[in-house]
Formats: sequence, structure tokens, C-alpha cells
Amino acid sequence: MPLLEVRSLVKQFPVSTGLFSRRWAQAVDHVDLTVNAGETIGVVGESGCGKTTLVRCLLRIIEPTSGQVIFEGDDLLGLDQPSLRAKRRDMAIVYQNPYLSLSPRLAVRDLIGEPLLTHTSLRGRALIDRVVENLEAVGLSADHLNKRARELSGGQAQRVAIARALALRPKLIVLDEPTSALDVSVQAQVLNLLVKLRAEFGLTYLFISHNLDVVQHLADRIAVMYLGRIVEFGEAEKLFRRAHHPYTMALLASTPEPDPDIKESSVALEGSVPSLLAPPSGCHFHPRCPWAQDRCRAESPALRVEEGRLARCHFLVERLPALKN
Amino acid sequence: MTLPLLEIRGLRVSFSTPAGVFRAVNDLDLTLERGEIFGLVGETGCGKTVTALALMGLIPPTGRVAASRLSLDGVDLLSPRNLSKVRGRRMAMIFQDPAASLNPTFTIGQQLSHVIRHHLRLDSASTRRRAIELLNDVGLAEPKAILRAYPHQLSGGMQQRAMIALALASGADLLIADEPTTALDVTIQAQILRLLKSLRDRHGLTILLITHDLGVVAQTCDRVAVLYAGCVAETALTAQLFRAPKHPYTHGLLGALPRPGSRGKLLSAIEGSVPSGISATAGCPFAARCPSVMNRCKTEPLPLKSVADAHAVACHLY
Repeated sequence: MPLLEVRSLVKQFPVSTGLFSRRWAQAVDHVDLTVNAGETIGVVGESGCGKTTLVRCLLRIIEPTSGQVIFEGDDLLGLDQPSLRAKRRDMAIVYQNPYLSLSPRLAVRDLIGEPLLTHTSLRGRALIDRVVENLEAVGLSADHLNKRARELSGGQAQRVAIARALALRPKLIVLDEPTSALDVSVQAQVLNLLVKLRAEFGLTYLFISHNLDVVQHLADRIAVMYLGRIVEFGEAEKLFRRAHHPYTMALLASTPEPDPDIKESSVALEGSVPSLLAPPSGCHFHPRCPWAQDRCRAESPALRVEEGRLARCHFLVERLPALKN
Repeated sequence: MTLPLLEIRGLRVSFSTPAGVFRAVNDLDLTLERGEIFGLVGETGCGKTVTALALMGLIPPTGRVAASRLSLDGVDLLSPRNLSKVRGRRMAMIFQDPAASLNPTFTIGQQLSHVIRHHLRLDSASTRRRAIELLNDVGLAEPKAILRAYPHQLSGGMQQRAMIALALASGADLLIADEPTTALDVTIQAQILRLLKSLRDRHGLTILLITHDLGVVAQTCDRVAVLYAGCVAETALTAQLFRAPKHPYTHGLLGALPRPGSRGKLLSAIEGSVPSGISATAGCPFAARCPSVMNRCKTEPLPLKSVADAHAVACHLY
């Protein structure tokens, strides 16, 4: 049984378009995703592709419009508050900016102690010991107990956010752009820490990022999102070696390689991401796709399996031989 | 030998803060040749933006700027009179967030004609022609519609293109681009970087590209300087820097990058964090974090030493 299974998840937001009129933006559009225990799934895409909305729906931080989120056999969307609260012990999230996600008024001891107070019977000395244990797990020490977030550097503050997420020993940790606000040297420290913690506590990560290099460093499988839909889903290594979906190809080609000997690829995308309020007909990607044909404008392609990977493209089979070299 | 377009010698910028004097830039030397894209790369607080602001004379009054030489094509930028003559006309600057740089209450056309009229003193018909030409030049399709548009009606990529058109309106030789693609998605970033390269190729524009992204440097710049704590740690041709980095900090930065093939391995993180800049260090600012630190690093100041043609490094190892 997978740890987490998402079935046909939809999230629509109302957008007012006038005094009395409103339209719906489909931020997450029938997303299916399975996460097995112990694996790391990366979700990549550009701003507005729905990756953050997706994970917030999974944790019911916001309520999805429809679909199912099955965590260890229970559909989270059908749970009442007390049962959801009990389930939440096993799920945690780390956000992009620790200075915004950590309360500026709480000291580190309370930031990490809070989930323990809520969910366990630890109090007093035992509680502090557990807090220190978590601090040490993320490479900090008891010296940091009385500091507030603003007294810490960006890397230290993010470590505290990770320690807080880790406090209840959850099964799943959602990491929403956890290193995007950090400098590269600090980013490397945090990525190393995440790899270490994953091995030490047998964690499952759902890792959201716009940075493909960061995602491929951590993820076993990667889902690529475009305008609310998953357009490609498969093993990280294979996906990086040879993308199936034209959008994945373009994403890979647009990411500047830190090596002047690797020349920029010619697969460069024109135009920008269309509005969610007026998504293109058929395949959402057709206005920017160099291979688009009439069928792409008329008909939305389904995700289909080819060479052990899911991709949403009408002409995948036709294009595959050309991709081989 | 022809005169370099931009020459910076011994630039120092400091700010008085309640905690003491913060040295943002410390004895910085840089030379930009005509028609090159020069990358200024470093982490938060290394002084890259402050250097650009000092060039443009945009350091706030709490800051102090001093230099032994600061000149654009022979014009001394340390004199406020000269500076106001060349600023906006011969050198222009674009910023990270185009939405915050454009005026939301005027159309792109109004903002462009304002700049064109101010610098070039053209009549209204020629101004409009020039504005359309500029928008075409930066790759904005349907320039006539763009002229009528307000900034919020454009996407982030289009806004940055409009900013570049504004910056180039007066025919500047030097464009200072401060993290011009950091707020943009990768596919749009690739478009803007291509535009910058094509402007250099077509018009011989010189670009000082400030970025924290080594990937952007590798794919865009001809030469590069790595800054650390307000000093140049290493400067080289881009290919030299990536193939044979010399400074331990450059090594650290390159090793810290996750890239294809790094999966499952530990990244070589640089331990510790950047010094505050308030306490003055006698020796190398990187000494406290350097894996190959020696005793003399903590005491002896170190000038940039040439290690190869166009390659200089500030490190006692060399």
C-alpha cells in the first residue's frame, strides 16, 4: 500500500471578474499521484503551475474542491477534525521562508516544543530534552534554545523549521521550496541535512521546487506540472536523461548549466505561461509547443504510460524515436 | 590599447549603523572592456549590488563612497556634475523586480517617451517612432499595443523587456543588470538572457550582469568576478573560472551546486556563514571558513595576484 495516494484532486479558486461576476481558476486539475513509503517525490513547475496549492490540499491546509487524498488507507478529505488532527502527527511541512513560517515571538524551545505539547504528554525536563534532541538532529545545539528566529541566520532558521517538522517523527514531510531563499553555500548544508535525516528516520519527502537541479539531487521520482496538470511523471534519473513531454524538455533546456562547456540547448520556449482563468483549449501546452498540431488544440491528452513513465502528450509515441539519440 | 569602458579602482563603500561601520565594499578593482558581458557573482551581502549602486551614484546618504578611480569611457564618475551627465544617458540600470521599477500609473509609451524626450530632445512623431523601434528591439511583439499598456497588464518577462527598452532608450553603452532574471521563471529567464546576449551582439552593448546564479554566469558571461565580503576573491574568463577555479571560495561555491550526477552524494557545503562586515578583518575575509587556511591568512592583507592571462586571485596559496 502506498503511503499517500492522490486521486483526481481538483482545487478551484473563485476569482471576481466584476462586481457580481466571478469565474473559477482551476489551480489543481485532476491530479493523480502515488507516494510510496521511504521515497522522495519531487514536484516541479513554474510559478502558477499549482504545485504549492497541490501540497496544501494534501495536508488540508486548504480544502480541495473534489478528489481523494488517501494517507495510510484513510481518505483525509472524509475525516472529521479530531481524526484529521490525529493523522496530522504523521505529516509535516517546511516552508520556503523560515522568518515567515516561524513565529517571531516564540523562542526556539517553544517553536519546537509546540507540536510536542499538542500531541504528546511530554512536559518539563523531558520536553526540553526532546527539543534539544531535535535541535541536535539538525546540527544545532542547546545554545540555540532561547534564541528567536530573527537572531538566527537564514540557514539556522531553516534548520529550526526542519526540527519543528521533525519533532513528532512524522512519516511524511512536505518541503515547499525549502532552500529557495538560501544562498548556494547554505543551500548545500540544508540539502545535505535533508539527505541525512531521510536516512536516519526513514522519512518520505514530497519536495516542491522550481529548481530542477535541486529536485534531481533529492528526488527518486519527479512530477512535472504545467497549469494545474501533471504533464510528466517518472523516475528522476530517466526523466533527466531523456524527457518525454515537450514542456519537460524545455524546462531542462532553460535551466542554465553551471558549466560553460555545455552549450545552451536550442529548445527554447517562446511566450509565457497562460492565465489559469483562460487556459488554452485541448493540451494546455499547445500555444508554446513546437510540435503542436490541430489535434492538440482540440483534444486534451490523457496521461499515458510509455517506457515506464507517464506523460501527457498526443504525439509521444510518434516523437519517441526522434528523442532516442 | 584602447581605453576600457569602465574602470573601478579601490572602491570602498561603507554604511554607519548603530552597531558600527559596515564595510559593504572593500578596495574593489574592476575593469570592463567594450562589448563584453561581465558577471559579478556572489552570495547575499557580498557587495555586488552596492557596487552597482555606487557606480550609478545611488548609494543612500547614510553610505560613504570613496575610490581612487571611477570612470566611464574616461569620464570621472566621482564628480557629481559628470555623473548626472552620463547617468541614464551613457549607462543605465535595470533591477530584479521590473514591476517595482516601472511606474504603475503611466503607460509604457508615456514612460518611454519621457526618457527619449529628456535625453534625445526629439519631436513627438520621432519619439513615437523611436519608442516602437526600441520595443521591437527588445523582442516585444505588437509594440503599438504595448505602448498603450500599463505595466500591470504585462507579464513579468514582458515587463523586464520594457525595462530594458527604457534603459536603452537614450543609447546607453553600459547596461548594469542587477539580478534581472531572479524574479522570473526559468523559461522566461532563458528568453531574457538570450535578449541580453543579442543586444550585445547587435549593438555592442557592454553589460555588467549581477547575479547569484553560477549557471547564469556560465551561460551568459565572457568574464566574471567572484565577490566575497566586499572584495574580489577571483576574476577570470568564464571558461577559466569554471574549468580551473583557484580560490577556495570559488571551489566551495562550485562544489555546493547540486547538478546532474550529484544525486545521493553529499554536497561540499561551505561551513559557517558570511562574516558580518562590521568587525574589520586584517587578513583574508574568507579565512574563518576556508578549508586550506594558513596562519598568514589571518593577518596579512592580500592583493589580487595574477595567476594566468586574465586570471587573478586574492589568496595566499598562489
